[in-house]
Amino acid sequence: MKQELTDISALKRKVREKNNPLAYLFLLPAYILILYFVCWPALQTLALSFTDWDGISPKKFVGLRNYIELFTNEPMFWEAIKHTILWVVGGSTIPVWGGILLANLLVRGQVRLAKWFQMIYFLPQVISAVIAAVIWKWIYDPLFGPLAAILDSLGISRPAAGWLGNPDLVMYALFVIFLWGSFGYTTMIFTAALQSVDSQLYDAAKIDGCGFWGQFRHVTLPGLYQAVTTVTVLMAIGSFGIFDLVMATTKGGPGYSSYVISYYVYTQGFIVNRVGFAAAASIVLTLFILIVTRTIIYFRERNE
Amino acid sequence: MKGAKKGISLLLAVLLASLLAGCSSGGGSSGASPSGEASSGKAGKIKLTVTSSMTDETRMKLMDETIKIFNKKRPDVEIEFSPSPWSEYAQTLKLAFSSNSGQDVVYVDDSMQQMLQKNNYLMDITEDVKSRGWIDKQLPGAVDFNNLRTPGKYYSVPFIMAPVVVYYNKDIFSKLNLTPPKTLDEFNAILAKVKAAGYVPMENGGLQNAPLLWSVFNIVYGKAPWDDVKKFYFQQGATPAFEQAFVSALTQVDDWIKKGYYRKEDASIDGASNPSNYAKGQTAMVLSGDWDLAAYKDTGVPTGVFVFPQVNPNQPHTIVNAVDGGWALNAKLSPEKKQAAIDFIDTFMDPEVVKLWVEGGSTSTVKFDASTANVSEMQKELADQVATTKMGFFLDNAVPGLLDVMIKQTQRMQFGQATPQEVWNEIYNEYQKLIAAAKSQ
Repeated sequence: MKQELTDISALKRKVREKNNPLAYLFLLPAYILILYFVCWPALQTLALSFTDWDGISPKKFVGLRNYIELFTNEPMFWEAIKHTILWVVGGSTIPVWGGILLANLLVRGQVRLAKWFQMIYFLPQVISAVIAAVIWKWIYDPLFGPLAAILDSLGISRPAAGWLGNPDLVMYALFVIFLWGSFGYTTMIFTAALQSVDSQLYDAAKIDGCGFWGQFRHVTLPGLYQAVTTVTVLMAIGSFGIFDLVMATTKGGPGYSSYVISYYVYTQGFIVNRVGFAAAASIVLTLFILIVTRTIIYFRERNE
Repeated sequence: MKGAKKGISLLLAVLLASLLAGCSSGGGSSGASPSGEASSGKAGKIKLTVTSSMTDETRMKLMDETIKIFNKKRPDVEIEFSPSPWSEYAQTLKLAFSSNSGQDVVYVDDSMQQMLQKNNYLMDITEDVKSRGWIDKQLPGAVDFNNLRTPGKYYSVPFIMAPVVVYYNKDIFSKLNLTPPKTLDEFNAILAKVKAAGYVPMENGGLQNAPLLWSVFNIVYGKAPWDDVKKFYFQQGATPAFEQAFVSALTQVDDWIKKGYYRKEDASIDGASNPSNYAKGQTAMVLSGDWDLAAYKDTGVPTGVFVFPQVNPNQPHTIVNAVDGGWALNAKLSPEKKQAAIDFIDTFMDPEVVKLWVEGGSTSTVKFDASTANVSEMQKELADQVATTKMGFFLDNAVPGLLDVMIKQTQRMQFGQATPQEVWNEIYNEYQKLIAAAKSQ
């Protein structure tokens, strides 16, 4: 009886809080900003995607023409999709698993100076992506770059055409830059999440005969589950939007070897002046992101 | 409680509506004050807003000096000069004009002029061009260059051009007993000799392929009838003769690639580092514009200049050399501001100003006695060489987006992923698509 009363009063408090106008007043600034800077541009982009517009002339309504053309007459769009999907798959798995392993080593491995390592791993996050791209462009420079110099001094052969100008290697070379920038981020999140896992669970696992791998599998991973799915979603979204790196290094080249959707949208919108068409491509990109993130969230909720 | 909730909701709705309505009207007449209004500067002066893509330190200083000279003649005008970098210049102009806040005087290249003129943002200044005698003051064809897409009408007036020349290492040439070539065969012979001697024949910068593309254009000018070149540039398609010339030019360049006349690492090299790579003293030649003259001069390598050799002696010697841009006026200028703006443009044809720009490293389109200017030997050499040639287009500027296509397709050729004919087919296919997109707007 007492318990029921407590539940009812808690429910009442919850309803009261939900209907508190002051709460809405506090939410108002953020609400307005999101509506104006996120929802309104998104709606405008959707509206633009049904027009033929070069950014300066009057807009012409063309219905679904941009979408039809995108899927039927744009082989470069498919090339960009192919590269983007590969990037998303790599970008939402390798840094995530790398981050888990590193965090596990730092927290569970009793590494000395772990905080310093965390800071060092996180440092690339502080540098803007464009500056990172410029630094890596220099590292990859086949004439003056340190990578070529190190390989030469060790007597290791290197690709004649370099890395960023080599159609077979360019995506890997760019992905290395992406990994360098994202490892610290995932490691930091997983380190924080791992520290909140109850150490008694590890003790219990040890008593049950679990070794390092067993503890990792039965305690660490379930403990990190929420963090893993969240980071995976964030990394997938970040991978879809990879633009600055490509723009500052290869501009989608050599040929179309590193063409990704975000760069394709930029080219169509700001180089070719097909703003309406670029809007259609960005709507498709948004749908892709929604589908992928929703799928990841669906699996997370199902497993819960 | 319910009343308070309703009140908050109403407040929220009103706030949002007013915010959205207020901001969405930014593109209308309530935005920035249109140029037609007599905006006054300091102490009742006429204020002119001027923009260009000249953001480098040298040209910024030259602009300041030019404005000072202009103000000696027109002390009643205040110039507010705010340039934007080239990389974002077209977008900045688009945003400014479409939001009714376009500058009074803008520096435009051929495609930007077309974009603004098509949408009636630029003033027809044909009468002023004629009455001020600007056509006669400039080199033949210079004023026409940016205005060829609007026959009989002038919307902009240039004052400098952007010739592409060949910078060469005098030491290497002297060691190998070479002299600047006059024909393409001689040029090819030099490349072979330089390669055999263990030097790098040419710099390129494969991440952008600019020198490679300029070589292609130079060869096309020697192989295709000029009318066909104009047809291609003015978006009227490619004639069989033009296609043949372009494929032939690509084949020539492909031959250079296969023979190793560019660095083996070329595909990964940024064109911006061409001067520093040339500075090592192991490179014989590099194609670049007059805007890079100071960079090659500062390398410390004894450097000479020649123009890309003539491909066909029966045709005029045309090289890649467009006017750098031209001054155009906002269509909405009041008569008072228009007069001030025309006087401002006229200043760029003042011999004192021309001398200033020439000494600053630019190649003037205005007729000028070069002997009065204090310029380096290298600059004199460049001016003398360019004076013997005819101006040719940067063909990648034919339609927005074509440069990106040309870079990517020639990169495919560099890796053996496409033959010259396939590269041309892809370029032409995209060219037609880009034209269709540009014309539909």
